[in-house]
Amino acid sequence: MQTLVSQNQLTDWRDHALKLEQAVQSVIVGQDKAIRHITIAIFARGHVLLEGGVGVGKTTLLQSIARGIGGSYERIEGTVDLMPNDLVYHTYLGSDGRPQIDEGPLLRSGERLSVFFFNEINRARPQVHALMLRVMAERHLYAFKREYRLPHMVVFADRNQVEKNETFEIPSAARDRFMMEIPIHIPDDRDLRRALMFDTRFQHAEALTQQVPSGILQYDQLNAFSDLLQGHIQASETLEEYALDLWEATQDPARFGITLDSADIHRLVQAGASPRGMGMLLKAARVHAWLMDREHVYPEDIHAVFHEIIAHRLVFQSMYENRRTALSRELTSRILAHIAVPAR
Amino acid sequence: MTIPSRTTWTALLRLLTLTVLFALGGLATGTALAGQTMPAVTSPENGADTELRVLELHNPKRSTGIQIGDYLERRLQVEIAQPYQLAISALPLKGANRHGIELADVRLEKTSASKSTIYTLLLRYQVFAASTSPAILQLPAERIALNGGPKALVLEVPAWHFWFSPLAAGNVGLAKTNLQPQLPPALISLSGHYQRLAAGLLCLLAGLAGLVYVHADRRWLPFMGGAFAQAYRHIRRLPRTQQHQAQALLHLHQAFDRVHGASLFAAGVDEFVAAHPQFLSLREDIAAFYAQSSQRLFTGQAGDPGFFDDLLTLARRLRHCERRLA
Repeated sequence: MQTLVSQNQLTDWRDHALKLEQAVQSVIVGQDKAIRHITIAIFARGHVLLEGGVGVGKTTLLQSIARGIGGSYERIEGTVDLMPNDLVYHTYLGSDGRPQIDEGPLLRSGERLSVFFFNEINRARPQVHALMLRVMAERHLYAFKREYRLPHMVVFADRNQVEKNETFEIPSAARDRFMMEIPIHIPDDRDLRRALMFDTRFQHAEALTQQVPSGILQYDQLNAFSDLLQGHIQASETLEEYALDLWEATQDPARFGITLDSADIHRLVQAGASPRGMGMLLKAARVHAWLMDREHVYPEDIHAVFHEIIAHRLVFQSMYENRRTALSRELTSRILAHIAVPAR
Repeated sequence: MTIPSRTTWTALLRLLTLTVLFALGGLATGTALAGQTMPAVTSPENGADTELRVLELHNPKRSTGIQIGDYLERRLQVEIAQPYQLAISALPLKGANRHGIELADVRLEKTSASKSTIYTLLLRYQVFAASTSPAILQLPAERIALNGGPKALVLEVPAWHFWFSPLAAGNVGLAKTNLQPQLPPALISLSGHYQRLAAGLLCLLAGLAGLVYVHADRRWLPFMGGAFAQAYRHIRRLPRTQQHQAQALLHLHQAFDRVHGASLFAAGVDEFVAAHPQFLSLREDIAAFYAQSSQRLFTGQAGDPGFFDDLLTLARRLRHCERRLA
């Protein structure tokens, strides 16, 4: 009976997840792959780094997601003078002329907070990073003499990768707290670009967001369902061996005969994926398998999230850091191309 | 007018000589024949006709074309009055050879009457004369003495001439002088047969090589060691147990990876057949294999009883594609 109930839950939630995807895809065009990855992150309960230029629709995308999963959406802009306190509280003069203190964007919605968007996080100082990373890991914060719990919060952070002045790069340990780094690029399709330019419905972000039905998912049940999902989707021993090979290949790609055209593979990687990263990889792969209506993880499920979960975790020698985006993409592609399902 | 060559002159001279000889021969033969018609019995004394009378004289009917070894017979019948008689001892001796004419046989028969005796004498000659050209020979004249009477009577049988024909015309010389250079026998040309045989053998070898190429499991030819050929061999050697199903699948996966140059998964099947069009006809089978393989490897679901047969069939078909036979 328990299994039957779980099966029904899995089916119902999958229907809702796919409905959410379709709803967001209807307003955010050309980002189907990013939307699928965000869906996976939501059900894997992982935080997300967004990679991409300005004006590609990240805010609209996140607002649409927040509307679809319910709960509150909060946002803060990373600036060089942003202090941790700015996340926690907000001071102002009240109507009576006396100073007032309210919760900041992180605490304002309380437990209803489902999506927190930190725009240009690398413009904020490391102190802000430290606070943010702690909240991301612990999902609670002590302020105003009480504990604020943020159990349903998923953080989306954008990095400005164009400008380097007055930026504070997120260290590798901090990047590792994010489950995925999802690229959001301008669509290549010419018709989509034309639509983005000339279709007036894309000029009103708020109106677009309103087109997404609210509460497709129930944000406050996502944690429980995620646990159910992770317990239900299985990984065979063969797949575990395959995933272990992938992990080792991120640490020592040369041992697997992997080469890169534009870098010395022996000197490129300083540190491969972390255990936490590989755990997140399997977690996300299980969600993908569930979305594909399977009860077992296939290598294709790992492939679907491998780059997004592994690339930002790789630590390159400093001489290669400037080309991190291209090199990490090339390396993860080579790893997937070289590592076969082991015959053990 | 054409001047005859020396050879032609020689031939003309020979022809002229033969013509003269024939003319002379004709005259001589005519003389001989004329002599035959005349009485051939004479007596040295007068009045012999009363004691001796020639009744018949038969010479050979043919006087030309006589060759060495031929027998010639003369038959003489005479009537001799008594008391004369023909003594056997007076007859020519058998075996006498005169000018190449040998008396091969002599027979004498006699019939007695009241006053006379009729003798029939048969002389059988054999020609042993040798000549390289036609010649006039003769059966020798015979003189046979009679006895018993008072007078010495002699029966004279005239010679009989005939044309001797040599077995071989012309001068007899050494065979060596007539030898002609002997040409080797014309050989039947076998080159065409050899070419057809070689072509046939080549076709046979090509056919055999083709059959080997299509059906051989082992790497007998340099281009037979393809990835799927190896996978087929490995799978065929595996024990057909549940435990070895995964290994069999992985052998085929490794073959796909080798051909593709990278790890191939279900999502890459279309890319694979696009890059390797020889496998295009098996696109659905390859996709089905990947689906089946994922179920077996990643869900633990065991294959059906025909698992190995199906896998071997697919591996063989993939090998055919690899060898560009499909």
